[in-house]
Amino acid sequence: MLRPLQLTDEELVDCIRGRLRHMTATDAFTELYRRHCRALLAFLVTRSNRKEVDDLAQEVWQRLWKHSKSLTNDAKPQHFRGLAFQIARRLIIDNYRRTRKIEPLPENLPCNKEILDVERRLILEECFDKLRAMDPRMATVLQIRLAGEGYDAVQSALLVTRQTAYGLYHEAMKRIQACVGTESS
Amino acid sequence: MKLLIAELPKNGAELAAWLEGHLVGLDLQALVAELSAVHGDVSQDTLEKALENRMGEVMESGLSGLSSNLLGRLLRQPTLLLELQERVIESESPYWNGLATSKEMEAAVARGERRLRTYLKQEEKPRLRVRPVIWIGVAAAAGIAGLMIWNAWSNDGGSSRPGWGWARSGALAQGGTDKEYFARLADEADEWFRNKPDSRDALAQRIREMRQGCTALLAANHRPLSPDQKTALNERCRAWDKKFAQQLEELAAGADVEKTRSEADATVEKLVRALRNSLMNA
Repeated sequence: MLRPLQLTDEELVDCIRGRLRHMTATDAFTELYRRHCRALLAFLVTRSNRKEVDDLAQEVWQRLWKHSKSLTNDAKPQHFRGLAFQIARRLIIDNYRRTRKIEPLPENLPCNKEILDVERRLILEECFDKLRAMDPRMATVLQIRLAGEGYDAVQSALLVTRQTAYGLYHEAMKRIQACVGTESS
Repeated sequence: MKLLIAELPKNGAELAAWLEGHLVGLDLQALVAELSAVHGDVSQDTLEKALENRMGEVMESGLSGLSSNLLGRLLRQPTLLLELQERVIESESPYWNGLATSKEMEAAVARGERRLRTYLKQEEKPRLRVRPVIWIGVAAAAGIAGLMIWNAWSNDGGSSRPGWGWARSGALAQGGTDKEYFARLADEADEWFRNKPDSRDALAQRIREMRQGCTALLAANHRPLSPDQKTALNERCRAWDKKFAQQLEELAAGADVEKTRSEADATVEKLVRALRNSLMNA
């Protein structure tokens, strides 16, 4: 007997629709779930409201199951992950339209700015503005470090010692965190 | 609200790994929102341009080969991370598929699998719609089948044998070489994975059947094996049986079904591996 790991996605779909009998349809589908669920969750959670993700993911898997079961014997199954993301995209668009009552339906995924965690961004922007008003150097050091650059870059930009650059960054981060904590509570 | 940017690592290699974790994790949306708040809406490169056409390398081996300058471009234009995530996910690259994920992700995966199993159970329930006349026929056939099963059971000395594994009728055939014998035993043990019982009773029954198999194995002649191989196999078999007995006890004491099934799965996986590898060299 073959173990699930030895089968390709296509063979697992064949087990679901009864063309192969290496394992039961539910075992084959569970294996497909285990292979692809993490990627699908990461995709969904980045593009929808976090509270709805479990339900959306479940809906995708239920549609995939129905699709796989309904394939006729001679039909060539689609690339499984491709199909999963095609369904996920459609659901995100439907969900986006439903929650925002947008007509007509957008043909593509909501643009990047619209799917961001808006509340988080607004709070942080406000805190960042306060920090800049308090000490512009702190805002600069934060921007440099959060662009992945090291303290050398901070030293050259602000003409300060390494120790000062280090101190400024930590003080800036402490203040931002305190501000965000207050604003979001 | 916990700030993700506060955890941004200092050096390039750690930064690449940190970003990779977010690309396959559950917090990318929040991270992009935070970076956008700090850097503002800067003019956007295309992803290919930002990565200087090194997309192939990124798909194959991640971000660790990128200079801190290129990583910086992703941080300063954070919505590119969303596009990169989509490319990474759809690529099915073994590198990205193999990255470790967070506890939170694993919890979401387990939650989803439980819901999915419930749904599949519902979907796979046979839906019979049969007219009363047919029911009479079905009942009669069931009666005859029942008599036949009873007869077979009685002839079997009263012990019911599972239809899988080492305890199955006809398993443990004694022909062939030692290698063939071990391979056969491994294949038969592997039949454990054909069924994944969800309920406490069903799992307990499955483990009991596995133990019946262990008993059958201990009683077998192992004709294809040398005396050393026989001793080694019997020793291991007793150890496996002890583990299954422990799992049964834990189950009866109220242990979590899923957890116990994973433990039993792990025991079977080990024994199959042992049969395929080390025992053959005993």
